[in-house]
Parts: sequence; structure tokens; C-alpha cells
Amino acid sequence: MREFFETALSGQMLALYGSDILVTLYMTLVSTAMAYLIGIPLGIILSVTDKDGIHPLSPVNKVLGFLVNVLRSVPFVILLVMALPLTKVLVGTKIGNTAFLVPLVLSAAPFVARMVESSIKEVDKGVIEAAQSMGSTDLQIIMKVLLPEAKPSLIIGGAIAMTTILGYTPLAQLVGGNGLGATAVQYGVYRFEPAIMYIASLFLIIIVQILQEVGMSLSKKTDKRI
Amino acid sequence: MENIIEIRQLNKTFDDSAGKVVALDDINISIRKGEIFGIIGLSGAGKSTLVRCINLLERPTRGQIIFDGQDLCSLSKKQLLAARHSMSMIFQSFNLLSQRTALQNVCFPLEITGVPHSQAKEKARELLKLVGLSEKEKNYPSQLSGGQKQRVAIARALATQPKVLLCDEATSALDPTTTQSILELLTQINQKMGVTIIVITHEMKVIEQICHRLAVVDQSHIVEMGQVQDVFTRPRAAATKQLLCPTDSALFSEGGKECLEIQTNDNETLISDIVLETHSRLRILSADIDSSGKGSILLRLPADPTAVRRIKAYLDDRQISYKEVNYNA
Repeated sequence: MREFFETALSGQMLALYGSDILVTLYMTLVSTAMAYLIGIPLGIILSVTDKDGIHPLSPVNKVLGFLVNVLRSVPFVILLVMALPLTKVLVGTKIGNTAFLVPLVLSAAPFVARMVESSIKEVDKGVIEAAQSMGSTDLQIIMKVLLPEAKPSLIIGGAIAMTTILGYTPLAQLVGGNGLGATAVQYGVYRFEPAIMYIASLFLIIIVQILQEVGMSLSKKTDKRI
Repeated sequence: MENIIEIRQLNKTFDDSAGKVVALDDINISIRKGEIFGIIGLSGAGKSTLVRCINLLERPTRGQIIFDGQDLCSLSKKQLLAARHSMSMIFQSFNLLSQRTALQNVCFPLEITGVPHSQAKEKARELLKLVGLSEKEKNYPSQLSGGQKQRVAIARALATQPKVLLCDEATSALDPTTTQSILELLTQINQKMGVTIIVITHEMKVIEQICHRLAVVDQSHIVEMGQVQDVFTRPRAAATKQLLCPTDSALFSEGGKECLEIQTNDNETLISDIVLETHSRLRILSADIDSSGKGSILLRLPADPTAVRRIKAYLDDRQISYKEVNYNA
């Protein structure tokens, strides 16, 4: 047992875990933020232009919905390869942690858009009607009714999106990136050091738990319905 | 008197998967400045669609909605939004913003009309005071009772100093006592602030209590319209009669103080007719009728004044003579 964990817990490895945690958090947080930057407007447009939305616009809704579905149906590993030329243009290189952010955001943004769309669609129709009866513009309804009313649900969505994105980070290893996931794959699969794989995964589990808990309690705290 | 709203030849048709559904057909109503106008009908009669056509939440298929001299259907979107600032609405389900406090809810319409924040807050406090909820300004809707929520909604509706207040089943989700207090508040607003109020309801009690005039909607049409007292006393349309005296409802109970002495000729079913037509319980105190059916009957009337009025109107219409008598048993 001691032997099993000896290399895995060496000073050198502990330092690696430390930097891996930082890299993993960097990739997850930055790509989540960027996915939301793209996903929130998309989600708003999807819900607003829906036939039951505040500004039905079927052509826009259909085209956007189709694009989102296409991006969502490409498996992440394949998207990673397909995005390489775009990555080269945007980041200047096809490899490394920052390069890995491009496919990560590309994959997460449409997912986030759907989450935002469904959160907004949960907003009580009566409240929207009340705002309309007061002469609110569509933009005022979006900014002052839809987003604030959907806030608790949006926060939970954020936590879910983050853990999903975290689940993709091990694939950074394919483009020469690192992080906890990459280390787990590298050592567990290619070097037959299962102990390192377990420890790296343990950190991943802990991060997911923390993200989920923080998201839930933040949502509960902001929700004035209870 | 000047009309604030004129609904002319309004028609609303919905395209359903099953074809066209006519929700409203040839509706004509003139609503006078400063009155409380009731629109009553059973569920599905089209009254909710009608009220939504007044502020164009539903766009009429045909017809005109003249509000304060301008036809709403002909306005640009921007003009329509401006017109809505002077026509507020309250709802059965209150529709308050759940993530805002009572005060912030009342501030909402002021925010969207661009009133500076501090000024909006001050105005909102004033309105919360008016509806008797000053101490609740920091509470969220989930911490308020149904009646309190509707009071906040009323304060919110009054924030932009509207000329018209539309009430869509505003008391239907409330218990009788709370309904009472909300109706009193609405009457007070009508009298003190001169706001014209349009009340949509399926409850005759609400109409009877606060409305001056009413329209009865049945199967997409207006079947009866007039002063509340007249319509209540002499209902003509079948729908009105059904609303006034639902077949499954209790009779107006007896036990009033008033007594009537009725002269009969040969109308053998007179008493039954009165009971069936006016839905009232009567007590025969004495009767003196000869074999030909002529004579007099002394009746004790129900306590409900509406029922009394209706009985008298029924007798008048049938030209049956009667006199009020003092009778102490």
C-alpha cells in the first residue's frame, strides 16, 4: 500500500497536483466565463424569439436553434480536431492550455445557450404580461424582468455548466495541455501509475463538489421566492 | 358624460389547430370617465380576451379601441407603450416580480418610464401608504398574504397615475373578507383619485358592490348592458339570469323585515312563479282567497335587498298590485 502511493505522493508530484489544480481551474473558469459571454445573448435570443416569447421571430429562432443543435451534436473530441484551424487563427498556436480553450468554449457556449433559454422560459408568463401592460419595451423586459426573475435558475445552470466543462478538461492532454485530468490520463493510462490517476481524480471530485455546493447555496441565497 | 374608452365593433378571432375560434364578436362598449364599469360572464365567455384587447395585450382582429381620443390599433409601437403608461392592469394572480421587494415592485413602472430612482422611491412609499402597507415595503411577495400582494399590485398600477385601471378577476383568488377590503380600496381609489375602473369578474357580488354599469358577456357577445341596479332588478338575457341565480345556488334566504300584501286574481301559480323567477324564499304569513282564486296573500320577503327589489320588479312587470305592510308577528 505504501509502495503503491510512494511516487504518487512524492514532493515532485505534490507540486504537480498544485499546478494542475490551478491550470484546471483556469481552463474551467475562463472557458465558462467566455461560454456565458456568448451563451447568455444566444439564450436570450432563443427564448425571446420563440413563438411563445415576447418577440416571436420564427426565422431567427429556427436558424439559431439549428446552429446550436449542430454544435451540440458534434462529439467534443471531434470538435477539438475540427476547431484546430480556428484555434490557430485565434490563439496563434494549436497546442497548449490556452489553445484548448477554443474548442472548450465552442462546445460549451451552445450548451449554455440552451440552459439560459430554459431558465428564461421558466419565468412566470403573468409577470411578463404585467410588465407589458405597463408599457415596458422588450429590452426593459429582458433586463428588468426575465434576467432578474431567472437569476436563481441561471446560477444553478452556471454550476452545472461549470462541472460539465470541467469534465472535458482531461482532453486537454490531446493537444499538449495539462491539468488534473491530463495528469490522470497521462500517468494512469500511459505510464501505469494508477495511484496518481486516483489522486488526481480525487481532486477533480473535490472541485466538482465545491462548485456544485457553492452554486446551490448561492442560488438559494438569491432566491426570494422561498 | 365624456367617454374615456370606446370599443367599436371589436372582433377577435384566434387561429386554432382546429380552425378559427371566434373569441369576441361585434363588441361595442362606451366607458365613461370616472365610472366603475363591470364586465361579467361565465368562464370561457371571452371577458379575459376582451380586457386584453383594451390595452392591446391581444391585438383585435377587427374594430377600434378609442382610448382618450386615439385609436390604439393605429398607434406605432412606441406610442402604444406610452399609452399603456396611462392604462394600468391588475391580475388574479397578482403577477408581482418575485425577486423584488414590495417597494421595488411599486418602483418598477416608474423605472421604465425613466423617473429618477430617489423620486421613484418616494412616490412608491406614498403609494404603499395609500394601500396600507407602509411597514411591508422591505418584504418580498413570498412573505405577503394574497390580499397584501394585491394591494402591492394596486399600488404598482397606480404609480404612473393612470386614467384607467383594468382589473382582471382581481379578487377571484381571495377569500370573502379580503375581497371585501380590496373592493373598498378600489372604490376609494375611484372616488378620491377619479380613476376609471374596469372590473372583469364572474362574481355578481363584486359587480353589485362597486360597479355603476355593467356589460354581460356570453359566448363572445354582449348580451346585456346597463346600470347595475336595472340589470340586477330586471335581468333580460338568459346568461344574466344564470349569473344572478345559478341553478345550484342557495335561494335568497327568508327572514327579512319587509312584508308585502299581494292582490291575486286567478293566478294560481303566482307564489311559485315568484320563487322560481327571483330565486327567493318567501314565507306566507296569511292568505285569504276565495274559490275563484281572488283575494290577498301576505308575504314576508327575504332579507337581501337585491332580492326584494327583484320581487317588486317582477310584480310590477306582471302588473300585480301589492302594498307594503307593517307586520309584527
